[in-house]
Amino acid sequence: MPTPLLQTIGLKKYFKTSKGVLHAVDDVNFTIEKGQTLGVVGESGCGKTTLGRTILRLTEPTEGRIMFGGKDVTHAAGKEMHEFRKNAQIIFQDPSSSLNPRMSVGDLIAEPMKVMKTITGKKALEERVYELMNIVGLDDRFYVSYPHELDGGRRQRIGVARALALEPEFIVCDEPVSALDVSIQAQILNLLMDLQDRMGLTYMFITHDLSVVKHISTDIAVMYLGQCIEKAPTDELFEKPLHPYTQALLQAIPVPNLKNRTIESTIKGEISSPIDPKPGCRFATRCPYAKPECTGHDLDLKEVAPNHFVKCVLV
Amino acid sequence: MAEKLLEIKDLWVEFKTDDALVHALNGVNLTVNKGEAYGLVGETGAGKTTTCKSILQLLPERVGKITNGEILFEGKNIPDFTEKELEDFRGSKCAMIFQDPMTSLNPVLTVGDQVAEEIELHNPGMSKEDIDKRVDDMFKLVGLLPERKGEFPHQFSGGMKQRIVIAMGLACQPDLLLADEPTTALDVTIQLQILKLMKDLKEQMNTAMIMVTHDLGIVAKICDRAGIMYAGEIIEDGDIEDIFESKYHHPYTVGLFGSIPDLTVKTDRLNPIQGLMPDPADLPTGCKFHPRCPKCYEECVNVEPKVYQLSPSHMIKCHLFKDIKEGGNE
Repeated sequence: MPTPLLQTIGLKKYFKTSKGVLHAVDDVNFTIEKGQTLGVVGESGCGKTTLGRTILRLTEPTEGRIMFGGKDVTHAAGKEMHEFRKNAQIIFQDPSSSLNPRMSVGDLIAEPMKVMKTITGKKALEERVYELMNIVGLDDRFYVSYPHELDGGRRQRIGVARALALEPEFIVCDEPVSALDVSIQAQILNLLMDLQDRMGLTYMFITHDLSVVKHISTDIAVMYLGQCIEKAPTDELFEKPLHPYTQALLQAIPVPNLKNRTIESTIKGEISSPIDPKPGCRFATRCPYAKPECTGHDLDLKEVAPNHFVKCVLV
Repeated sequence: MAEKLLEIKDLWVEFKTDDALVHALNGVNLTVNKGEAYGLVGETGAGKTTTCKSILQLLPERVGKITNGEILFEGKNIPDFTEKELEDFRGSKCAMIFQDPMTSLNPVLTVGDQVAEEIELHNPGMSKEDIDKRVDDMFKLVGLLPERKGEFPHQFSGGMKQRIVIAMGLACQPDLLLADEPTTALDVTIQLQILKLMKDLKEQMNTAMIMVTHDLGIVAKICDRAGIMYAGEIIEDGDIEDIFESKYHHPYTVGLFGSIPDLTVKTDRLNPIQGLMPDPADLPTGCKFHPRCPKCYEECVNVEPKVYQLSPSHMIKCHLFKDIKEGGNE
């Protein structure tokens, strides 16, 4: 078996708050093979963004290890870190707040290459910027434009171009389409998938939208309150969701057809606090099948079918 | 025949800004019957919110102006209302739920006071106890504990805040509720709870509703009829069966459906609409969708399409449907 491109082992990220310790990411283990896409789904506050940022070490992990291409990068520094930054990039959620409003499109796309000194010479840099703009589908005339002059879809294309500038192997896509209209969203999704085919990119795709994640991912991890509660290949997860939370999530998507117009919500209430969670299943308070044995002790992620992992006492 | 509650006839709205004249609505026609949920679907900038604000006469003063058309509520034209009539109309006959519950509540008033404020305004002379009781009832109706009415908005989660906003909207039992993307800011499981609540309330109180959304899934769940909006026009309108199950659609509607990843079918690529929404200050000639339309031909560029009635309930504004009658041959 080849070494996976990315692996996390017992990854934890805790934040200290005045009310206690907030468990944003709590013991997450997964692997992503080269050229694959892992979709990470969950509701707001489940720690999916923190997970993405921790993996890239934009925030330092509290515990656990991050393996990238077989090397431990958890404490990488200097040259090693430089190399990791080049190979692992991120596309942010909100294209309007993640771009410097005082830089032109050309400068924005050139910035990563200037910082990492991958391309020297003004001419070569300019050529590369035009090449990248071409790849992501931005017209040359936007080279001198500023982000505020462009619409959300085009701004997100700048974000994609910046992430691609250093020819990374791995990109964390943090809700890259949730701020966009559906027709524009579909354009960006197609772009990301084309790029993956062409360049053999590996994605970790963070989103709350299950239909998007189904479309783009090869595997899906479902997160709830900092933990990964189910992980399976995409088709398997949609056909046989095992965790009650996954089932509820799938059921909650309004499908655009008239086959089933009744609205039934099996789960009540809202996500509980991630501060100092008690041992046991964190979904138990909302779970329709909760039993006494759900609480009191932490559960393991069990492999119930090849590559299908679930954290639940019922299975 | 269902009784008409609201009828918008050929409504045009313009916004005058320093650099341009923005054509926000360009001849909107729509009808909402009593007790019916009408879905208004479209992308950012299509004019959905402007339509709602025109109904309540909440367009920004001096900047936004209705240049033509009528908005008839129970047969009376809303733009002709006096200030006093408008006051009676807003809140008690027609209420609006705004998109973002985080910004539509006053952060320095308790949520109970905010619900009470409206009841007090529309029921002068109502005793404090009665108002209090009514607030409690509203809280129970939307699934909140009345004990929490003394708390402030920041103490509630997003889903609960949206429930409070819905309670405010329904406090005076309006005949028409304008819901402007009420669940867009919420998580899917919470969205489902809110949709269920709205559907139940609609059935219980027989409130008519305009549900503004960009999500066709939501329309399929709770609406009876729907209209698809593009660049300030309704380009397709019909019963939801027409919208979801007819074989004839406006190319834009086809594009909208093509953009949504289907959960049941595995597709390699989505079929999005090419290009972007037109600039409302500089709209294309002829059919406003023609620069993005895969089926565009010469006539589309020059001539604005008429509205073609495919069946009594289903209309499409597109040249392609000139000679088509639903059920007939192409």
